[in-house]
Amino acid sequence: MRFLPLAVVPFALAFAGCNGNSGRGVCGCDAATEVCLSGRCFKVQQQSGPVVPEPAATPANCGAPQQLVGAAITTAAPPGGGPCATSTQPSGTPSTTMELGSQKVGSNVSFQLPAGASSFTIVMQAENAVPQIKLASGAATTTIDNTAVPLILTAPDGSTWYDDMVPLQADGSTQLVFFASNSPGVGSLGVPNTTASLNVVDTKGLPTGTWTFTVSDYAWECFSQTSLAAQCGASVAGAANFANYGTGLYHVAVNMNVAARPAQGTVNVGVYLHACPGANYDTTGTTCTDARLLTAAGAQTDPDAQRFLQTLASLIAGGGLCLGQVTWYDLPAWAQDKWKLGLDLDATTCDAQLGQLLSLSQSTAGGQMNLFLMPDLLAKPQGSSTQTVIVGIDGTIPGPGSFAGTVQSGAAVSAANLRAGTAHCTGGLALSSCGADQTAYIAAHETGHYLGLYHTTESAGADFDPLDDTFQCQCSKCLTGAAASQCGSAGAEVMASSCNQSTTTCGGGKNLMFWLLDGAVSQGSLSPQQSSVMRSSPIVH
Amino acid sequence: MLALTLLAAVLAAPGPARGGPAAAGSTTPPAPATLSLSDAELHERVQAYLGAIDRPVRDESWRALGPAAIPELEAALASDDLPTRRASAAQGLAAIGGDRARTALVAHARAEGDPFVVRAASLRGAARVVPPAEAATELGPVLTGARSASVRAAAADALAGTGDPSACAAVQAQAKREGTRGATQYAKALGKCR
Repeated sequence: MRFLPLAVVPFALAFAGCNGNSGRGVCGCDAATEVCLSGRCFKVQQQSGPVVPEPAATPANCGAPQQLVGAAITTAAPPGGGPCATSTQPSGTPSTTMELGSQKVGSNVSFQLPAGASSFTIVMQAENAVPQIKLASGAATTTIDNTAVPLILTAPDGSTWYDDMVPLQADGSTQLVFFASNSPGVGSLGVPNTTASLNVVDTKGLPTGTWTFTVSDYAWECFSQTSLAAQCGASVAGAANFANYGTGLYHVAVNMNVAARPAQGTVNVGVYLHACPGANYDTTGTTCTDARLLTAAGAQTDPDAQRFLQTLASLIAGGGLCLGQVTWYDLPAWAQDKWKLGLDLDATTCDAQLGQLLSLSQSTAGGQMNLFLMPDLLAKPQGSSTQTVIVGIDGTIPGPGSFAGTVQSGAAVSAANLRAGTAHCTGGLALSSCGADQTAYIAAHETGHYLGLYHTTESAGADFDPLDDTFQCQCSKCLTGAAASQCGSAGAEVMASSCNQSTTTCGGGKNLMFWLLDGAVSQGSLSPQQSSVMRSSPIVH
Repeated sequence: MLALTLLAAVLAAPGPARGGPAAAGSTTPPAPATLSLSDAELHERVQAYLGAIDRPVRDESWRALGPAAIPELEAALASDDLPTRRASAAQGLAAIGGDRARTALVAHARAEGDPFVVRAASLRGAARVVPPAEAATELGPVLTGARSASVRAAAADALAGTGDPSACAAVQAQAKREGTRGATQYAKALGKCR
């Protein structure tokens, strides 16, 4: 349920300038006939409702973060081949983490939520679980990751807050818990993460007492739900594989925020550096020929690293968060060598390179956001046999709270742009031309995912985040001409420029969590509810 | 489990491993081969695709732009734009294909002054649009003569991906010339040539 049903479309006649606010009747524009967008007044043509300012979070007022050089990472290189690693990791916030031990899939486990608690995140680390399952659709069978997610979450009063067998509603903001992530190996479920659950917290508080959830993953759902037999049952999996679907074992814990959500949050960040972000090597392949190496020891005096940090801090502050402690780490030598040409995101299961990388994240008191700056990130688009560049990827939504060292404990960001366009990195945010700014924007976007945010609008313009104060960009309402004819087909894609009309159904293009970055539109804005979700993360204090 | 049906739409992660279930069960109509877009719409789409964050742009999306997108992609690849955007332009050119795309991709694969990610993307793209039997001729000079060992390794990977015997022979020969380092850096390429 979006809060304004009507829309107004501006036509492109620029008038007198206005200040940085957006919306109708603000910043000097004629309230009856004009709207302010990107600092300029535009005449508006009344269609079905008003242009309105996109709700903005209260920015945080932050001091400079404290920068540290992290201790050397001594994690050994993972062995090639062999069984999947299944070691579980400890919480970085043990005093507010309820450890529930090893639990078999199908087990109902309970935890006590104390009075005054404002959020919790269930974290399930696989000790023994099939990495993937087979899924049938008609005559085709495909293999997908075995996502770990509680089957049912029940509040102390017996009400169901989440049921993974119930279809997601078209309007996710009315659900109490929203989950649509891919999380093999380690699964996380955060509460609150929707408008409905934020309202519960803000009006009467999270129900205190005994919460119960069923430890589960997709394999267990296939194993235990007869309604899924045709989709992923024994006939699809094969008898031998199917038997393993029912044997998953997870180390289960609950991260809790036992106090009220902070009005202004602080998050610590670990930044993991590859010394040669441009992947430029000499003819022997042993010496980086970048103008200077990117190292933890040098980061505090490296202008590109500092611009990155300054921009990251600014973007995060827009969501009501300050960067607290920023720790620069050097990736261990084996990792620098292994990924000197980039990270292969298509490597699967036990050789999953993203999981190996994120497992290098370091445990710190209170937990931290772990960002890995890598020379290149490569992934195959759906239906392609050739890899292409992407610029960022998060482990899961949300990340596993204060649990560092897991296969999902952070995000990878391309550093290929970090040292590009430095001449443009002198004034304000320059996303189109300053590489450090763009790298920081991607890092902030992935941080948003880790802290629980989904894309405000997905690429097809048909799926949206579960928050009702972020503007949607509905394909059928925002595109015109040939592009509009694609809405509902596999070719549908909404662009930031089409999603910058400042209406509730054709907005969101400038939001940090829009699905793409457009230097002419993106502003990194965040809504009040997005801020609330982020400030509910167990690593925000 | 129903979360499965939304995976492709809402995940912040790329690739078929994370989009499989929805793709398998989807009833979404396929996209048309080519969209009929105005110049402004075409420009908007190209620029948007170059700015994708955590979801790789599908080949079908690039192809739907048609040959009309080639000049803008060519210009983006040759520009002083940020390296990852130039690399994405290379992917777009490879997906759309054609002689003009081939020329641009081979040129940037060979361009010593280009950033690594741009050259690597151009190599991958060129290996797609150059006929396999010609790949060793077109990209062999990069494999043997690029000053940077990382670019040579990227060339090996791209050539190996063509599956052409002459390309694989060139990769195997270069791996020997690289010595022990080659064994490591070329492992993936050599694996493709087995």
